[in-house]
Amino acid sequence: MTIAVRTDATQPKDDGLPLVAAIIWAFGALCSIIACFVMLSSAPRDTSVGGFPWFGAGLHLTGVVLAYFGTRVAKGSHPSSAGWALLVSFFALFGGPLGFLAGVACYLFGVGQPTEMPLVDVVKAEMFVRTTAHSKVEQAGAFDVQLREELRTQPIVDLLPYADVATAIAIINKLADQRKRGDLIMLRELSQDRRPEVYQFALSRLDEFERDYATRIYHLKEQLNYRPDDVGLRVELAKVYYDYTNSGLLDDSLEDYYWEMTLAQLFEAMRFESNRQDLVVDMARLFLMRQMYREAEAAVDDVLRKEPANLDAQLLMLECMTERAQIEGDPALLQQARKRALESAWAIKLPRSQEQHPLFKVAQYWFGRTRTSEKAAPHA
Amino acid sequence: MQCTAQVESGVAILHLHGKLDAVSVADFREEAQKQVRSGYRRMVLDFAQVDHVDGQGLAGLVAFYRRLTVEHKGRLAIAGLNPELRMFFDRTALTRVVPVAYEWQEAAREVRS
Repeated sequence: MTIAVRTDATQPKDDGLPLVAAIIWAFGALCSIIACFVMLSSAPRDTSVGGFPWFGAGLHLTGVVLAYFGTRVAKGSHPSSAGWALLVSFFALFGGPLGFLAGVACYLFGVGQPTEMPLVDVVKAEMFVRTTAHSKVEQAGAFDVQLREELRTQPIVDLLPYADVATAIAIINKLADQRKRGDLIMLRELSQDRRPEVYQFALSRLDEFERDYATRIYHLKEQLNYRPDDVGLRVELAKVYYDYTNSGLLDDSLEDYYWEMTLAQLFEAMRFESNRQDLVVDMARLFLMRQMYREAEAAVDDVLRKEPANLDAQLLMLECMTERAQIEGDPALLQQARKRALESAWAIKLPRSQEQHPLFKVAQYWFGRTRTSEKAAPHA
Repeated sequence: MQCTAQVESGVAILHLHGKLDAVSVADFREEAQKQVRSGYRRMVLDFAQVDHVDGQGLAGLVAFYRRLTVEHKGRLAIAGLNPELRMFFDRTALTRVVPVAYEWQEAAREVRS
């Protein structure tokens, strides 16, 4: 499932199809159909004789022009009007009457769709947790890159207390560009700086992020008013809430509030689609985020009973167990996690084609060396 | 949404009435927090008179459950769920961690033990 977010201020037209446009289209379609009939019926069996069917061709072109103008009238003064009109007329030009109808159908179905694609991860935006998982892959796969970046940033951050205004502003820009949780927390601290130039600049950068989240939340909520049972929208809203909760922009109480909002949207989505295990995994991740280890484990365990090969659930279960082992200081839990990992048939049966999967590196991190060492053990 | 509280052998029982949704969740939160502030760490939520819980309501309940169990090391039990609510709660897997009983008396015994 790919979820799109509409971020432009102009809302799609929902006042129906103008009658004039429908009439123009009807004439256009009629011209196109007659043109098709005339051209086919007048076509000689021997192509070397007979003239060019000017009348049919003219009608066909008239149909194309009417398709163009019909769409322009339908779409009005919207900026995308010309684009849609060209699309429909191309369909009509190359597809004849069928193309005409297909073009108009394309317009009618497509015009209410969102015009902008998701902000973070178009292809893999099934769930916000997937994005989190993906960042873990980046951490595992490109850890050195991340480390280099931090090593480059850290020295200037250390200079902060002694920095002049220009340097402080450069640091603010750097932190804002990186946009990680830690960076934004530091940016919030900089907004308390006693120099007006510095704290005002920091505040303005923070305000950009705040407004970005507020806009996304506002648009999704607006859409939910019209389509309250749209699970995709709810999941997308949950994703935005989740990102906002983890952004570092909020203080503790607001983080709690948005955590709860995330959970509420997930629960609503689960109410409509009770068999979506990915939602349960996401819910478990939210539990884990707030140290609800047993609850998270119970939820993931439920998923694994239904889908034993669910990669996200397997990894999350290991995460739950290892975190709980660290918190409770129980090495037996770590051994249990390791045993569980080794028993997981999914990891062993992972086909080679799955190597392109973003989570494969994480799986390799967990299981790769273990399996290699097990193979090596008899020789040793 | 109405909340009435009673205390039974050191366990705070919160009887909920009506709907637990986006509108009424604040009332629930306030009443439940009041019990926690009063020092009760063992609580039972009686849903016998509740006919509807939406996502926001359930999220409020989970948030309160987290505060009670993680921050205050308390215990919570749920009682009186009708079949529809039970199904909704089951999806969250919380019912595998939180004791669920038919009657609040039974739930109170559960959190006391």
